[in-house]
Amino acid sequence: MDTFDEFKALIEQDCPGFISAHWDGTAETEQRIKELTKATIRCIPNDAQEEVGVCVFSGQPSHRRVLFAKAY
Amino acid sequence: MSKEITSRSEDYSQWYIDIVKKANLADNSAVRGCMVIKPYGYALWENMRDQLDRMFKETGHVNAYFPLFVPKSLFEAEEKNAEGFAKECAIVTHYRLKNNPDEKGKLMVDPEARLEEELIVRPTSEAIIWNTYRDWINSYRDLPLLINQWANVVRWEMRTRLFLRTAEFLWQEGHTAHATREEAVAEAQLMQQVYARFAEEFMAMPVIQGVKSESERFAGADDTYTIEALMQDGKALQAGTSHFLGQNFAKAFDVKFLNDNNQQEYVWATSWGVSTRLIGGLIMTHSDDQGLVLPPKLAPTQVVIVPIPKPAAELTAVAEKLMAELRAKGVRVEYDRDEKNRPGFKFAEHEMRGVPVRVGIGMRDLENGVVEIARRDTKEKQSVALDGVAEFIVALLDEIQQNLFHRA
Repeated sequence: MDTFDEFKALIEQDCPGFISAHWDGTAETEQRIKELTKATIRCIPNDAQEEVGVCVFSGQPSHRRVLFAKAY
Repeated sequence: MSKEITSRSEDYSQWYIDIVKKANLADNSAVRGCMVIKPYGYALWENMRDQLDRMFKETGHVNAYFPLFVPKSLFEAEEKNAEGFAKECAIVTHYRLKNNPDEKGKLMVDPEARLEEELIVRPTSEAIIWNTYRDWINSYRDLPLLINQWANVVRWEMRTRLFLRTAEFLWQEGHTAHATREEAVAEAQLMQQVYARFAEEFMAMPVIQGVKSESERFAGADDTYTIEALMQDGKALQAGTSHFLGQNFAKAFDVKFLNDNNQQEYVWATSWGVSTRLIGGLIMTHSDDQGLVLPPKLAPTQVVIVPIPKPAAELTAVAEKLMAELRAKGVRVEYDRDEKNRPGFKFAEHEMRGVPVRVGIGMRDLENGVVEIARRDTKEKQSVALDGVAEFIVALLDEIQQNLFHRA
């Protein structure tokens, strides 16, 4: 899962679950993703590995994945 | 049958509400957004509370109790915390009612009984507790301070759902004070692990442990550690949080200690809490279209014995002997003495309230020296020899606990 279109498709499924995706670390991106998909960052998992990548929304550099989900 | 519930595929939200109501866990009340926790729901909460309390004590914490009301001047002392909760506060402004002179038999707020300073009904207790800690902490010998309280709090939520989000809820809140940053961080992480262990071993609810992004952090925290669980509908539930508060509250309330070099330093803090929201998580993790499914370790009743078709004296004698055996092994067991309803109806009732194991005893089975055992999680039934059935049930409860965790 690396593009925002894929992200949106996943989160709009019937039973979306957690989505592990790169995030650029900014509150702006987090807010925009929330507005567009209702998904929030649930957490940066304790066991998250350092991994070079680009933010699923902004394309900016990212060094680890975080967990997104719709939440109660 | 009148007790039928909406299926999950039809409407997951309605299914959830149906379970809460038809399993007699809780109900709405005359106060919008506030729930009545019914005896069965409260028994479940008591089991959760008792286990958590044991785990807190095993990790060195003690309980205390602080006031429900927080004077506004204390509430606003830690700015970020105050700002974060300001929009959902209930506020006490008066302390007396009087007869309404214009309307006989009605009361009105006595305008002469206005409080000099408003009181906030606690949405969380950092302010009142850190104001108290200033008097309790003087030197490094007073640290660490490891205190928990069991309490109710009020957050004026607009959209509420039974257990998951209510204006008033029950919870525990731990508030600890430490001499060093490292120690406070370690404490916050330790309590995250305690919550994760409780969720997985007792609730049979798998969780992911992680840290919150800045915007999802607790207001006033430097870091929020969380446990997140996934519900059957693919939505996440924040099940417990533990906060590293840095020196934010120590600075706001001027809580300093004399370190071992005889220098004044601000104290480091944590706070951590779980609430009756966990019951919502428990329901949505395990239950099915027949009703509640409970993990044996938390179920108020672990085993129910149902005489078939009615509690005849011979059946009751066998049931009482089995109950005594099970109770001696620490099993929470009850006997269904109801004479009015048919076995099929009773079975459905016990399924609805999620009793993990049902034992059916009938005359014909007894002649063959067996009883019928039904497990709630898989709905499998089997005949088991009456001789040794108590040991069988104890092992089965353990197996159900494991099965619920693995299939969740």
